Amino acid sequence: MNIGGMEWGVTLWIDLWAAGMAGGAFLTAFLADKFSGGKLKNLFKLAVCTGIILALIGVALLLSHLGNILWFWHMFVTFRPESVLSLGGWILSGWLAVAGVMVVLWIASHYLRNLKPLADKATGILSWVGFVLSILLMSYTGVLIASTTQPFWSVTPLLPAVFVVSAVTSGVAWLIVVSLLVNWLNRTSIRPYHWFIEQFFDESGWQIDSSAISKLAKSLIIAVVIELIVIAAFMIWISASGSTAATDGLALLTGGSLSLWFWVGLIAAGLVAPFIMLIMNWKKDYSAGILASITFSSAGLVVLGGLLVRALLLIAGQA
Amino acid sequence: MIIGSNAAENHPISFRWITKAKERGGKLISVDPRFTRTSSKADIYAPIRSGTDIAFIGGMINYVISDIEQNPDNYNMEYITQYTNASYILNPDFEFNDGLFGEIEQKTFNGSYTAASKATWKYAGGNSPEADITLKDPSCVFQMLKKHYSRYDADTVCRITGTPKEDFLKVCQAYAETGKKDKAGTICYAMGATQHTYGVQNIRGYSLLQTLLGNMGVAGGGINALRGTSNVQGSTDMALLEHILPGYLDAPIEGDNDIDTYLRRSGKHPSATITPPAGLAADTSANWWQNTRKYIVSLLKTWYGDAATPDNEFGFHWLPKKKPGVNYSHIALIEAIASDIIKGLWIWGQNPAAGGPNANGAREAFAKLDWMVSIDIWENETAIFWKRPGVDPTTIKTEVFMLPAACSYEKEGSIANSGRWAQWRYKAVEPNGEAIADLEIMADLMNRIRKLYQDDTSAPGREGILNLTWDYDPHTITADQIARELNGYDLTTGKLMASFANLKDDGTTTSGNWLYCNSYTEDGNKLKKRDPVDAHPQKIGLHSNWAWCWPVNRRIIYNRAAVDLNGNPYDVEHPVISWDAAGAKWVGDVPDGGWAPINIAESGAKTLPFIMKPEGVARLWGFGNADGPLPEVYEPWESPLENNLMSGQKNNPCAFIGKWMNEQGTPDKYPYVGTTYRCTEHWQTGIMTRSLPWLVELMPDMFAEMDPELAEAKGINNGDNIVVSSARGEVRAVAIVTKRFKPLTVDGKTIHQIGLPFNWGFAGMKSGDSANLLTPHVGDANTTIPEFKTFLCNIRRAN
Amino acid sequence: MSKAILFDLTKCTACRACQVACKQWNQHKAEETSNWGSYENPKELSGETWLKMRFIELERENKFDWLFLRRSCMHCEDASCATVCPVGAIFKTDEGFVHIDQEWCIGCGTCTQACPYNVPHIDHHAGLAMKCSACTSVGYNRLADGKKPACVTTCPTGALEYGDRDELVAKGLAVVDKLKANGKPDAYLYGEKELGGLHVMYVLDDSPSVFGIPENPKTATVDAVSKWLSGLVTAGVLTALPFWMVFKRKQDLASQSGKKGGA
Repeated sequence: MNIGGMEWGVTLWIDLWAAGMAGGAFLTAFLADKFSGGKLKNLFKLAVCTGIILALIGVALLLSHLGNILWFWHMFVTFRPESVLSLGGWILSGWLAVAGVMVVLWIASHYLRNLKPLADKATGILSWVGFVLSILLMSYTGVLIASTTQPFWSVTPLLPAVFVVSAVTSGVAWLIVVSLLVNWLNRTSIRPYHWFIEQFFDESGWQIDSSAISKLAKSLIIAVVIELIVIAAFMIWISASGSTAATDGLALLTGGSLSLWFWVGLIAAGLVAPFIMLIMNWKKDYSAGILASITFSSAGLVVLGGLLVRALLLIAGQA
Repeated sequence: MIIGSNAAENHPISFRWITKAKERGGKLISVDPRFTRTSSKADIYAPIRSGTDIAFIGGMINYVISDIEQNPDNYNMEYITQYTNASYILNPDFEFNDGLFGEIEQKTFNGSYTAASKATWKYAGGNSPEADITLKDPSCVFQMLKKHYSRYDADTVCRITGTPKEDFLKVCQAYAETGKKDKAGTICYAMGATQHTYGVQNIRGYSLLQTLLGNMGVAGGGINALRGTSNVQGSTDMALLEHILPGYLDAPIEGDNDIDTYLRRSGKHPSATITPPAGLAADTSANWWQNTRKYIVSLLKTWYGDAATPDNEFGFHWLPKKKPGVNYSHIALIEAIASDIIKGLWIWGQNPAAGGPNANGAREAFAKLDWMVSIDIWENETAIFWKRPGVDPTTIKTEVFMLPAACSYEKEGSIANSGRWAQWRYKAVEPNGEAIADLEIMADLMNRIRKLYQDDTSAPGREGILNLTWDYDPHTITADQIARELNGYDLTTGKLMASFANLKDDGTTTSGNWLYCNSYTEDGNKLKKRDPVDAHPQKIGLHSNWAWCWPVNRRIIYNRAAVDLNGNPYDVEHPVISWDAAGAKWVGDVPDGGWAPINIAESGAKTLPFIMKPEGVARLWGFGNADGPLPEVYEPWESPLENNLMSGQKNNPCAFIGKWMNEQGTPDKYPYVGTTYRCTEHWQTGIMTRSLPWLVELMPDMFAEMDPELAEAKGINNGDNIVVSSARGEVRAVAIVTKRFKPLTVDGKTIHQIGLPFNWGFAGMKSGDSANLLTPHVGDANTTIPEFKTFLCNIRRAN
Repeated sequence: MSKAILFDLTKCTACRACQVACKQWNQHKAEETSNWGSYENPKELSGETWLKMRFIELERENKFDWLFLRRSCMHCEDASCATVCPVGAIFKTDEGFVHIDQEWCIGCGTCTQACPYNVPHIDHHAGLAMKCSACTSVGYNRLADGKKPACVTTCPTGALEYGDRDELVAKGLAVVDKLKANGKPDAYLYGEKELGGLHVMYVLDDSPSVFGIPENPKTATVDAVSKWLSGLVTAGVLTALPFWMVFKRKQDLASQSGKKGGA
């Protein structure tokens, strides 16, 4: 039965998007660093720092969504694994704690050099913990939405897959955006920015090199394709589900009141156009010259697409 | 059978008992223009064109009569021959022609049959009729009945009512089964039956049918009038009506020069007794109304106390007398106001501006009053008629006073239900603000009015007013005191009377209402009894110790018709009373007359069961109504048909047709049949309920229901705002398009019906238009009850 | 002692005394409503409307019918709302009724999405999830006083009954048998087995889908494992893929070229 007001609205869309993107960015940077033999620590640090901001936005919005904000602490005296939201609260808090400790360790080792070896070891272990938590973070939002009785969300097991894939693409895209931004900021003489970097980080290690950005861009191309496939699979599974409530929700997206947002906003602008723009420049240096702008725009579209996919899926499920 | 009633919606507590009956295998029939919440629980539903119940019932009577002839074993022939006037021989001069029962001056409306014609409705032998027990004599009631209703074959009936024939026959077959001795059926009716220009004949029809089926006076039988409000029964018992005195005594008219004349004129005199014909087993008719002298005298002694003596007719002359031939009912009242005959009006717990017919007419008429006093719980449409939407108050000269009254939970008293049970009610909370109980208002008024009469020696009727006994103080008067006054006292001992059987006509007893004599005896106030145990030996559900009913707590009246001539119950499993030969007494309910059974009693004491009738038997054929001895099909005042399909007489010739702002609509301009009703969620004109948020939440807006075909033809979607109009006014409403209304085929034409609840008005927290802006200023031939239930209307989308 | 409420559709006349009794007992405000072309109002349950009657017009085998179905919390034995609540504010009373603790709920709205019947709603004034508590609400507890729920007490026709669940199951099945023997072959006691057994059961004279209520309803967390898996596998495998492809290959090449001696 699908009657009911839209309890899960804008604050939740942004919250889910920000949390997923934080996990995606962490995961991306972690894997990129690991697969390149540990040479992309800057990227990883960037992912963790910007990820904390995203995660905090997510937390703030989650709290604001509560009917009784002051009682949020009830979540932290309760651990109920059967409740995805309870698990999610702990996962998000755990992720923030891990990321937070890592940032503290980085800042500490910037000031106390002799702490560095210990800090490095600790952050090494923590980054693995963070990796696991990031996977859980990206997954739990999808499982939360799917563990309901709104047929559009719950009739297939694929909703979490869509959320995860979208978290990855938007995570990668986010990293591309902030990397290009950081590289650009490095070339400027914006005093507060440079002062901030000098105070807390090793300035020279804050540049993200172009090969990393290019690889991120290439990964984004592949990830976008995977996202399109997973979304298609989700839609096909729903059509075959036999649930009219679910197919009604789907129809809203494909041909109904949300179709413009879905096809033009999400699929075309959020996925296909970035794909085309990026793949046209496959062999080139994605962070150089005018291509940097194209890369930046494509990634930006994917980031926004990540918000759109969550908004659309939540609206369609509560219609 | 629930016909002319929507009991599930408007008498929901009654439905508790109907549900229990169904649980035990009872079958429910619902006959209604619309498929209602009652119909949803019925085993058989038959749709009907509003205004054609009389054809439907006539058809059922025809069905039963022919079935009685073919399968007499399925019916209680002893009951029919011994307890009804089926065998009585009628006046050979009686003529029924083309819809008329004799000579009548005005055939169209407001007519009355000549005295000569009315005389032909009586028995051939006058007060000593003859009878043919074999029921074969062509002039006997049974044969006359058969002849009259032979015109009501199923095809003709269904052509008139629009009921699909198979549904009609299903109803007949099912209901006719109750004719068996061990089966009973009850007919529940309400305003759907009464609010027509032939409403009384509708009820007569039910009564006729029930009598043929042997269902009167038996358990599970009878006519159940589901009263329009919770204390209408009480109001009629206490005679808040213009034609009666308390206890259903007649109101005196000019020409009633003394009590004796009055009794003879009103048919409540010993000379009115009709002796049982030879051939019947019984030889005595109790004609209980012949005791009326005792009741009127006791009533007069109550009112005039010591001033009432044998020398002055106990003050009878002081009673106001009606003018003969003048109608004093509601519609006539409004017409009198409109004609400047009445200049001042007390509106006491009533709301004609929304609840009366032709609401525009009523509202305009009120503007002619010099003053009005509204006594009510809330400000209703009548009290603020002068500032209703669309009216400039400066143009209205009526001075209106409002006296706030306490509602039923804020005072003590009693109410009487449809089963004649009078139940005591207690005060739960103090009234709000300045509101006080009606009783206190009345006492205060009476004292002040009496003072005015005291001071003005030239006031007309002064003697009567000053001689009234009224020792009550508005600050100390209680319902308890009144209850005792109603029961009455033995003036020789000063004790409360035990029963009306002991009332006397010599001025030594008082009783404010003879029917209530026995309700408050030296043993206490019986209206307060609350014992739920069913003490009847076979537990038929009498619950005789819960509250008290009149007369003398007899729960089923005429219950001597439930036993055979030897006093044995017809229905052994559900007896009402049975004769205990050893103890020579009746057991069970209070017997309707303690006389021994007919075959056992001595000669000269073999008493018939229907003791309130002069002949002691139930009248299949009657002669007390203005419009004829038998119910006959007429069309409503506003009919979609050009002609009456049953005869050349289109309408009831005796119907009361008002003149004031009473335009008649025709089918060309107003092609649809309109009807009004109520919903469960609101009460009457909504004055009590439209200011209660929880009820407004359930039913917020005025609505009109119609079938989908009509809606489509008019371009109306479910939920649209529409306007319903009649020749007298317009009403805005939300359209509820529903299959619960189906178009009916009447005489080959498609008829659509539109239903509107009358629960809205412009006053109160949540307002809406009054459905009664549409209804006509016309009324029943006998009672002038308005024809709220059928009129012509049109609909259109609102802009 | 497991208790339940039995609603017998064949006895209900939609007088809606139950709807008003619920509001009156719990002192809930009336909602602003308008007639939308039906007797039914309010349109949906809310934080202040815990019980409403649905008016259902049906055409079955060429016979028109108008049936009335109660809509309120079904008090599931396997209550999805209780499972998904992140703070554990939803619990079962001794009688088996599902109660949202108004002193612990944080108003996250998850239970409103998890209920198979869409019953709990966030109240817009309090911000918390609210629903029928079978009259066990703190300060408004009728059951503790030995009374029956307000709706049951008020029902004039006896369509609502309250008592031991076992007895009511037996009673409901008996009515269903009677209906089956009288031309209603699809009569059904809804709630006998659904979701572990509901503590509010309906005697229906036809199959549940005719009335728009779910046949074979599942709890919200019924496929939790497969859903977690789809998320984790996707994250673990599918998403690692592009990074493995893009970052690792280049590294191999790099190490290869390194092995070749930096040409």
